[in-house]
Amino acid sequence: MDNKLLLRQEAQVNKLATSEVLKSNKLTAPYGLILSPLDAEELVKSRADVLRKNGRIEFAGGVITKLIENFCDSPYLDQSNYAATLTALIETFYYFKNETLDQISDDDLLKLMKKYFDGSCHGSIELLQNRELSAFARSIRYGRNYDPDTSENPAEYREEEIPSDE
Amino acid sequence: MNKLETQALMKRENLKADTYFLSLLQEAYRVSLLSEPELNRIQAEALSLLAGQVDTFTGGTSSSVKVETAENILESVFFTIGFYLKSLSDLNLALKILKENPLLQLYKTGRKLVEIQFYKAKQLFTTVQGNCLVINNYAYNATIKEGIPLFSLLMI
Repeated sequence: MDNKLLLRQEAQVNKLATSEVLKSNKLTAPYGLILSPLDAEELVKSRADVLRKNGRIEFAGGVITKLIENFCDSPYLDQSNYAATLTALIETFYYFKNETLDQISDDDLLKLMKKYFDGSCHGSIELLQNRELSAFARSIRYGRNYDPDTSENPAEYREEEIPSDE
Repeated sequence: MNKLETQALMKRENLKADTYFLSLLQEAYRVSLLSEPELNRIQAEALSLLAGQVDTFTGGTSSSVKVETAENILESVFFTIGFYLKSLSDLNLALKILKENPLLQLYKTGRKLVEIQFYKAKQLFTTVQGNCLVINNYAYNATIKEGIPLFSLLMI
């Protein structure tokens, strides 16, 4: 029953998430960002794939909506890259939930992602994933404290001395 | 269907001590004492119970957890429900209670029973620690004094 139950959970959350994502168009329309029903379905589908790939399960459909709410005012988003960027951000989000060993809350991770994306990454997902969040996750794994409101110049994490295995 | 017929249909040997709740569901469903809609209702309630427990586990700060974590939490929820059902006098009563009560209520009752057992064991352990033999046997002393750190770590 365990596996069946978890699959049923996924189906329920996906159904809920699609309608939530479409509702968020009201919020993003003033920024010129709109998702079509097909985009919404694709986003929810890719979220399910990413969850599976990262060995995670979700119990509420709110993360895509939270991503949209956090990122809709980013100067680096426009209608042409909106859906694709959201897909990449979803992948980034769950990957770094694992990489930070679940030590950081959803809201704090989203806040950091936005800060780096708009700041030092200048809208580059590659820099966000491979430079800033990788360094941040590494510092979390080495037990460093963080404060998403006040902290971290990401450069501090990059320059941090990582203990060697020797 | 009367009590004797129910018990005759369900085979006690098919019920497992460690996964009592799940095996009871499977057995009752196998002999058609539990219908498809009833099973669906129980599954939906189990899902909602799991979501609540995951929320407690993450302190409401994360909407997702690793699959292994969810499975472990689900296993402990099922164990707790099974603990209560197992404490009932017979299968007939266990099935009746399972059918007629929300799963959350069964979980809460099971949790109280588990807590009682936990405190009984803790009491027993304290008594043993207070009355242990004064002998120069490392294995004996280490087991009683340091071997079971569970009670100081677990705060139910």
